[in-house]
Amino acid sequence: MSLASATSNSLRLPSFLGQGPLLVVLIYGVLAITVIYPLLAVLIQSFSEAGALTTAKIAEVFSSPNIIEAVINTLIISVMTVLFASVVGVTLAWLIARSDMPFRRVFDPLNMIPFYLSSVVGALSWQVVAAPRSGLINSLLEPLFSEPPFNIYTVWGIALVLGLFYTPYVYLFTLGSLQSMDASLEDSARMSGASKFMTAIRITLPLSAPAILSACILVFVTAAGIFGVPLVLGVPGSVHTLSTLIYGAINEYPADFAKAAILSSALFLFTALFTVAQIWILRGRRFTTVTGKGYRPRRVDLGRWRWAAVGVNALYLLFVIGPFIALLLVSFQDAWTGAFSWSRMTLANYHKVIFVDAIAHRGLINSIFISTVGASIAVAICMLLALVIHRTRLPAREGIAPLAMVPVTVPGIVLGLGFLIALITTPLYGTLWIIMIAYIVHYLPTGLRNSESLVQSVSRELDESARMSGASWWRAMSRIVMPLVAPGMVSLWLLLFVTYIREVSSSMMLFTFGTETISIALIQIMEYEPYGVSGAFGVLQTVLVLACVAFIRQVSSPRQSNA
Amino acid sequence: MSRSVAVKVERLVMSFGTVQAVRGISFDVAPGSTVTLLGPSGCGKTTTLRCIAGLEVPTSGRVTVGDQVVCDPESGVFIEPERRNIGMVFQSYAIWPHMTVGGNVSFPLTISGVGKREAQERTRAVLDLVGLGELQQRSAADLSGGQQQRVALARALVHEPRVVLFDEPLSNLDANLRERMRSELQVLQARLGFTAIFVTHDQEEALSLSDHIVIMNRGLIEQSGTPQDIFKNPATAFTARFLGYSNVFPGRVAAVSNGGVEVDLGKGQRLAARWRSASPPRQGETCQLAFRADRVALDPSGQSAGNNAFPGVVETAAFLGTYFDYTVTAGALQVEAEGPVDHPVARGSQVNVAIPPEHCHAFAAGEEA
Repeated sequence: MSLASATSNSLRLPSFLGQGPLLVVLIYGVLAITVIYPLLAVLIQSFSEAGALTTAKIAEVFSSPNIIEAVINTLIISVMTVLFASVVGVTLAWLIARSDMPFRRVFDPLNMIPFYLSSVVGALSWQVVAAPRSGLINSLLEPLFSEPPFNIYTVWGIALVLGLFYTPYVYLFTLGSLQSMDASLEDSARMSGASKFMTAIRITLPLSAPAILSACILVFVTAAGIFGVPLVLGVPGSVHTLSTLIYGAINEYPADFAKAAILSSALFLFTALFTVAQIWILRGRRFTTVTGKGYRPRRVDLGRWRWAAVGVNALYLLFVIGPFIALLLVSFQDAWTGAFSWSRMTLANYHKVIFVDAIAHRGLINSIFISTVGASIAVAICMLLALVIHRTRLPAREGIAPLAMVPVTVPGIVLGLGFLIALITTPLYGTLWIIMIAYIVHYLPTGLRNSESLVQSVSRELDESARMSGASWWRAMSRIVMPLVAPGMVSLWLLLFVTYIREVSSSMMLFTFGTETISIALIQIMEYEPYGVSGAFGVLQTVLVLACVAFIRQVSSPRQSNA
Repeated sequence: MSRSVAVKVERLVMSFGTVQAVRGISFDVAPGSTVTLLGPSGCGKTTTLRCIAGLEVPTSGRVTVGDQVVCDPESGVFIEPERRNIGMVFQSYAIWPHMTVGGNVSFPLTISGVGKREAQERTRAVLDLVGLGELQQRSAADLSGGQQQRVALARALVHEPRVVLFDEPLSNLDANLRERMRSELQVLQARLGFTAIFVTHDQEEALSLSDHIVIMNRGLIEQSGTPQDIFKNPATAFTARFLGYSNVFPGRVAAVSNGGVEVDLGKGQRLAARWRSASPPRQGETCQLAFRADRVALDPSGQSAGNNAFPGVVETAAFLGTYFDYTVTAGALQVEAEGPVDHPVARGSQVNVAIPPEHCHAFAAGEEA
């Protein structure tokens, strides 16, 4: 047998090596257009006026006093939100994972509820409870104080609602870290003479610090860019943040794109700075506290404090669920006077949002369409990226993940503005597709991170043995890897579906008449309808999402994937 | 290309970044034979196996399977693993948990388009061969370690590959099962006549399974040959140590005689030894001296310190069932020795330590100390 014939026989290149580089070019191209270009569009817009390069507009924008106030408000809200979420989140996580607090199993899923809910609905329900005049608590307590004691229309009110809604992020990260920690690390502290509480403070928490810190930065960046809650709770009391000012600049007539872009650039600079700080602080700080040993960390005996712990957790849940119950009551009242009345019971509000109100109807249909189709496309894209990154040897594959992670630093409203500037002249503008693409890009980091851990959870040898059995790359992926991660893909799909349903920041920039999403419909209904109607719509939205979450927990093992 | 070579590896180099895992190794595997790549973790043995499989693309070098060049980066040849017709048993067995036992085993047949009926028959036949005939319908998720091993083997054999690769196939089994699987593998191979390449770090496994052993260290071949040959005549101190020579001492060549040397181990202790390195010994050069514990004779009478013997004191004595394990301090040396159970030597005894010169191996001091 001659060598020449053997060689020519094997020169037929395998399909994925032949087309692979093309695929990589395609991936980079799409990421450049969808991730980088909108950001660049915002930056360029900030520095140009009538086609010329200038910084004059920037100086003008930042000389206005209400901008400075908005920057300070944004900072206060972000810092207070992080403080609230981290103190409450870490405390609850420790109680659930490490103490003998009663009702742990009941509290654990309940503590995650805000994670799945729209914070706009949360803001609405806090309005019902603590608006200066009409709030439920205020009307109850007013006789005692002679004036309403609580005002939710302040930076503190905004920070409270955001803190409540972002506590689950810190809770989830900390819980994961505590549950995977090697018990012997704590045991040896006890054997060295440390008390149980000393052990918790000196050993357990520092070991979880990287996880807690990355959750805190995530919450900080999200709170800085959040839009729905400041709009609902800030505008009535003239409390402005950078995000509401950006929205205002687009919404005034004529729209001031330059101002919106400058404020967005400032906001992006702010969040990017903190993300870079996080990467810098966490470099090399990945404690390997996970061991293969199956034994669980021992729980701390709280003694008499057990019931105090129950009280703390119950109080958090009261703050989360209580206002929703109030909202539920309001949604069944034909008019709201600050107190519930049996004689005012009605289903008219639900009838209105389901059958009469066109915008509510549209919002519901649009959101379900965007979320269903969008989540399907996103899961497909993220799985493909994860497989290319972890299951091929294609050139430049290492650069894909960092590029796809960029949206983590970009607040939704900035991303939305970028898409608006970049695509306003294209036929995509004014369609549901532009909103869907913005969602997919905005939550690409969530999708990719989950897909990567799914793919990595499948041992390489499983698909390598398929290759050795004669299967091509694509067959090994579709016959072996994908079926094995299918449950994880379903729960990722549902996670993205829920996330898209409750999203408001980027769609606020991109919707037009006819393409309102459910959250935008809610905000618009709140502007011209009484509490009862918007309450009914908020309740409807919440029930829809919670039904999906219940479904998640049914089809997949709990907490397989998270943001 | 000669028909008498099943797998030919030539000047294989594999770099990961700046690290060279395999540094230009060559060896041949005869058809129907069993070759074992033996070495410590990180020596490049698994990388070499994966290059043969096609799961890694080597930096340079050539791999030929049968008469087909499957991989030659210099001339742009790379055959995908699925088109090499090689079976492989992975360390983790890589049984697909979402399929039945039968589904796992028939997968290679389904992929290559074998008819349903024929696939069924061949799957059944190969499952019978590995003794799992009745488990065909069982879900692969609930198999014991030994059963998984057999399923992996059946799957690797079902499409009758010309070569079967085994990556540490027995390391996840307990000692009893390991021994049984070892002999079953030999029986199977004799019946089916496939060529086998094993990778292991277990010298006992390598010695018992192979026709030919390739000892690897730091990406290079340290020595290769038949098990008996390698075991009797280690060519380097590394090989000696790896094959269980528990006494390896640094020394200096004191005298060179015909075919042998005298090694000075310090404090005036000298041992006559065979010179095993390729380079001729030079008087005064540093060297390594190795001998096995079971070649050491301990004489409690303490007399007759003749050739290749010196006095010592027994420091530890451990009963290990079939023999006693001793540590003897003799001058500057700590010598490991073995003795029969019928004539134990007490701790603290003065003994005469003797090692026949033909069992003492001396090597030039290489990079491996």
